[in-house]
Amino acid sequence: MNFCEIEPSEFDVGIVGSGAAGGIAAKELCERGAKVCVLEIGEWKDPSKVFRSHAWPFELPYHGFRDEYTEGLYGDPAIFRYSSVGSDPAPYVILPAVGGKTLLWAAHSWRFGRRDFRLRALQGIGEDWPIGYQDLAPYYDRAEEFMGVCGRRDSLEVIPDGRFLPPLEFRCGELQVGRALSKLGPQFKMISTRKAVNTMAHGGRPQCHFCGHCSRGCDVDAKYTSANAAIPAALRTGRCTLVTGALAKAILLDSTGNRARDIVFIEVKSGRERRVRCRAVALACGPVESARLLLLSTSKWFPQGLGNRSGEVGKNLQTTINLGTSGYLKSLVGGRVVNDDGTDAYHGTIPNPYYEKPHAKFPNGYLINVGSGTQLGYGGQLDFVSAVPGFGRQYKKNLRATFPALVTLGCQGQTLASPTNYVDLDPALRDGFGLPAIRMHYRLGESELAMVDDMRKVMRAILEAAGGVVTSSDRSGGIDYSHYVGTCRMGIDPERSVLNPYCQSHDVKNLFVVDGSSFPTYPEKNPTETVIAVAMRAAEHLAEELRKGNI
Amino acid sequence: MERSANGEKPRKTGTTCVITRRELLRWLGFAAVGGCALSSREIFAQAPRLVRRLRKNGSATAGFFTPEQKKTIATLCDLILPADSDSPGAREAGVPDFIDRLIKVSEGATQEVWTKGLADLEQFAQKSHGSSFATLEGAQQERVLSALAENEFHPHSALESFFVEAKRLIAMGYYTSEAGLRKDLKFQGNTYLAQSPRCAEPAR
Repeated sequence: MNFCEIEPSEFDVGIVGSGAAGGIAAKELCERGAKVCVLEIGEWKDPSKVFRSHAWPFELPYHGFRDEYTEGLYGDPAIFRYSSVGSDPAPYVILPAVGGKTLLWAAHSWRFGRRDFRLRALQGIGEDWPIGYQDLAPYYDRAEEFMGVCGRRDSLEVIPDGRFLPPLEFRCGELQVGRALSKLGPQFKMISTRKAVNTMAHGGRPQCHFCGHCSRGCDVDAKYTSANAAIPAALRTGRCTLVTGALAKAILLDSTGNRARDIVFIEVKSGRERRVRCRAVALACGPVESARLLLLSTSKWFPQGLGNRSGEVGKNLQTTINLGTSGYLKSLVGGRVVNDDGTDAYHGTIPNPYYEKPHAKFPNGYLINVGSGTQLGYGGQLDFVSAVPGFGRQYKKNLRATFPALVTLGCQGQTLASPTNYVDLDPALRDGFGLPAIRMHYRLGESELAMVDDMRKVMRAILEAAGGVVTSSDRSGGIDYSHYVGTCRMGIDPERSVLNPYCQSHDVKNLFVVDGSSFPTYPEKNPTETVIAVAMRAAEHLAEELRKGNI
Repeated sequence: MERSANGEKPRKTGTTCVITRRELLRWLGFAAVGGCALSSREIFAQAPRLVRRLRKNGSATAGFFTPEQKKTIATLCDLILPADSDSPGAREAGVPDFIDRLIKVSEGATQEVWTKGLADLEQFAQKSHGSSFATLEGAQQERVLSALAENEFHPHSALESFFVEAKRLIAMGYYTSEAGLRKDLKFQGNTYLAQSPRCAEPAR
């Protein structure tokens, strides 16, 4: 198809972004009869050619220490320029490709708990979601069925059960940690980590072969990505036009200023400007880029950005904070070396122990992932070489004996929305495409710092209760660049929110933002399964509105 | 979608690539009924070809250190992770070359740590034993390192900090080498498993 041939067409929906939200929205809309155009800044990546997941470290020039495993996948920082200010500068990362960051995600898939939607009502902080768990439950069901999520029905309120493929098994170290948790209290329980990974063949994709390299890209597509499931499903309907190498730069309104009409985009290879006309527009670029696109789309009706009459676009930026501790279990030292690879890093998770009763010093919750054995998936396992003393023959023998006993704990904690945390447009810096660059503003609050302190103490207590020795612990909490949410929050009040409960703009009825931008408050759990459930619900509503002629 | 009916190939040069549904499905190997073209095992077997391409690119990289500095690094490798009856040592495993390549592309501050550290080590060897570090006898070299390693968990000087860093990088380089990872540690992973690993040993 000649590229400029799409210009005279009018699509029912123009979707910007083909990641977790965009892919699902395209599938849902196309399956309901909508003619959809998906604009994606990146290109297709062929998993069997592009992913280096099975490369041995010694086959790479720097043994993997210069990110050779994922080289060429993340956006070139020289082009995707941005600025980051505040006392805890937040990183920004884009994966420009069909499927976005789902290509390299570790696929942890959790439902939010009932309480996670009602932080304000229960604890007086943040904003409540205008919908509850019961509104999303049917979409969680469908999301899990479509993605293929492995797990066990654990009957825990903090992490509601769903429909699962067979659960991952525990390695010996994980088992030992799990058994020791009762020493810390009944609120500490380890469950099988739930992941969108095929522990059996599902959705036309093969069973996982447990090589432990999910985060380097799954070369057999046993892990769910938007590129191996959602986008192909959309394309199979015959109603989806996927345009790659297309950078959306503005949404234009019609002459009344009430309706979005065109998406203006740049052809990445040629620099030429194009536009596509749509009855409705759905943004799915991720919370940072979706907010930027709205802020870039100024007009006389929306001088402070499209759909931004509330002034909330870009605000309420939240993510998770990560802190890890590694060590080894004394009873496993000198044990037999077996293949402990499974799926990337963690097979056990301790859900938020403060879900029922928040900690006295901070309202934030966090979960603790548990990984053990000789698997090298995360690379950080090798840090133990610095924790074993001495040098020479005995040092070498000691390292060899310690290797099968390794264990890693990874905390992932909630952050609260704060006026200090938001994204806007940098007034001076331009990115490689000549557009005003993203400017991240971030500062960790007192409660986040108190939580990080607790994480460190609790991880040490867990390892010691399990008969372990701590060999290293992260010095400070890391801001997770893959979990940003909240920049176009949903709510009932148009003066204090950007979107209604269906992710529809309060200000422009045919404009939707279907990615994690809509989350008002965000717990400690990975966002993607909820992003997919929310996008499914929003797409279903949009399709219905189109069918009725309301949009 | 009417456009795909003529089976037009996607244009890849000069224009944005708009992929027709038919081309895409063929490329991904998804049959209309949703099957997979290649089994996991077949795809896994293709992975070495990609890696061979990478290896060719990597070996041409030049190094950072002078021959004298490299000799000192090789000596450190021999001392910190020597060859034994179980496996080759860090020097035999190519760790000096690995460090040379890695430091070449590292930040200036990292390069400075190594340049200064090696110089400080030389100075220390001269002062305590009257000779350059690489030419000392084995026992003397071990005494030098033992002195530096005494405070390895709370280094007091720049040289003690350098010992910590040299030990770390030598060990990281060794245990990601074929000799270190597969021969010494006997790493069993990075392969094709039919089911998830699980604990076979009884709880202790």
